[in-house]
Amino acid sequence: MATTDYHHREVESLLFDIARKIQLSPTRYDEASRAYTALCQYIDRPESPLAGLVVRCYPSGSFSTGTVISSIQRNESHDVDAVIELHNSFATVDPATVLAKLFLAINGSEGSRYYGKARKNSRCVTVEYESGLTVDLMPIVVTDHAVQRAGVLFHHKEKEGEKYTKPVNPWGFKEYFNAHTATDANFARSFWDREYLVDGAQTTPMPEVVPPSLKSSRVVALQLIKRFRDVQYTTRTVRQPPAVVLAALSLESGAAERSLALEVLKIGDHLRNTLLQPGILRVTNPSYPADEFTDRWPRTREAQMEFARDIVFLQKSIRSLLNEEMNTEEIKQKLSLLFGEKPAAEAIIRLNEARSRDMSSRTLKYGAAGRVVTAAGLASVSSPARSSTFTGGDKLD
Amino acid sequence: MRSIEEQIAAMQSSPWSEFAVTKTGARSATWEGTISPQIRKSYLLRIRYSVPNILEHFTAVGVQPRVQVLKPVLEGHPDYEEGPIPHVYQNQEEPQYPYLCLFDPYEGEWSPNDLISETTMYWAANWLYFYENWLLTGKWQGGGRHYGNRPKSV
Repeated sequence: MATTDYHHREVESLLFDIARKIQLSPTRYDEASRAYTALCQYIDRPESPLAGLVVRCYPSGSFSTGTVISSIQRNESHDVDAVIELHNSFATVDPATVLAKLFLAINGSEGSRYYGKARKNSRCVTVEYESGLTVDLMPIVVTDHAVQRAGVLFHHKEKEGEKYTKPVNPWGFKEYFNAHTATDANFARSFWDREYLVDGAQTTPMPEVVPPSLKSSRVVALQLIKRFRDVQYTTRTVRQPPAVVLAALSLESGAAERSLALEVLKIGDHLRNTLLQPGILRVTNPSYPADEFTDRWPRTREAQMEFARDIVFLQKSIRSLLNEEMNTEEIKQKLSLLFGEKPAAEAIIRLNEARSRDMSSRTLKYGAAGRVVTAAGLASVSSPARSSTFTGGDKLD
Repeated sequence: MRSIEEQIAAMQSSPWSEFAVTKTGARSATWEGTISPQIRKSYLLRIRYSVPNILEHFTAVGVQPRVQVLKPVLEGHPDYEEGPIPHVYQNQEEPQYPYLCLFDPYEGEWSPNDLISETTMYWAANWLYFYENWLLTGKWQGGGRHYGNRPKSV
């Protein structure tokens, strides 16, 4: 195997392990499912101010597109986005009233199930759980009957004096995204060949958690980019690029690469080129162009350029991992800057497991001065006569 | 049993030829040199070996090449896996330079019939690679085993 193939394979393995580490565990996913289902049922209970007025409740956001990752901020927990589709009589109701009614339907009176756990935001009501899980429930009304489930959301920010409805179609985007990121059997096969298995999958009214082994490189690359974004914005106080913007732009990146590293670079190229175009970025829902994804970010050119610089940094780092020889400390540092300390540490441990197996089987070679051969040339390598077992702990005679 | 001349000659014609012989005796040699298991990471090692007298009783534990890391001094981390330092023999005279324990003497993994250049040197490189990563992660991933008070006879 050529040195570059071996090295590229190790970088792929590192990225797969990062991706694996940021997946939601089956336990967390189960928790999200139960919370979401319970809330949907609760909002429509007989005593609710919205009783009989909820047409349907469905997941949106990352869960609906199979791109959910654990949150870096809240104990590796996660956000669930859900749409509460209300009766069309709400189409003419003041947005402040709609949001207030949804809040009341959830928060209820003192002593009730979610009392004190709900928070009214500008477009949704958020329920927070002790585990760190949050469920964002966004009320919409279907107003455009020409397009399946297209309608409006309700925006109200009292302090800023903002009050309006906005066209949306999260269902349409979910359908579009999933149709354009079908499972790639070859990607799945290469993932399984590395014996990197993710436990479990849930069958619930919510979409199944599809292990990364069964997803396409595009979806897993998008998860990595989301995680990268989260790490970069951890210490910033500004709004970060919405995941739906990243998802929509990723779909415009052309045919997906088989390689995860190359796919991250490819999506990065499109993100960078798009962000660098003159003016303020505008991205719309490919299934419903009236639905603008960028209405709240970026608000300024500087915000846009900041993320463009981030993407350049991401690409430069991935390229240096692919093309430069590094020791494991340097690899870990680089991965930590990109994806956070915990996934980076896990990836290094897995890398060493693989190298340990190679050493035991004598398939790993050694260059000059005992250099473990990865990116170094294969021109002059050697191997021991046999492997050994470290022992020790006493004193020598 | 390999003579010391054979050991020296094998080292000189091996990938470890950069290791210089710093001392020799009738049946002994000391080498010093650098191992660099990963880029920008290198260690100065000393290897001392005496060929046992064929008439004397000897054990693999007793006659094995003594491999020490001179620079940088090995770090001890009692709170890490296999801490304070994984898989070393204590050195009462120079505690900061323990001897690396590179093979299982009870399983016949090394004998004076083996060439240091084909065994010990690679195993030292392995040990150092995993030592670097043990410093990084706190986990020893180089495998190994421990013995209690097993008899030390071969």
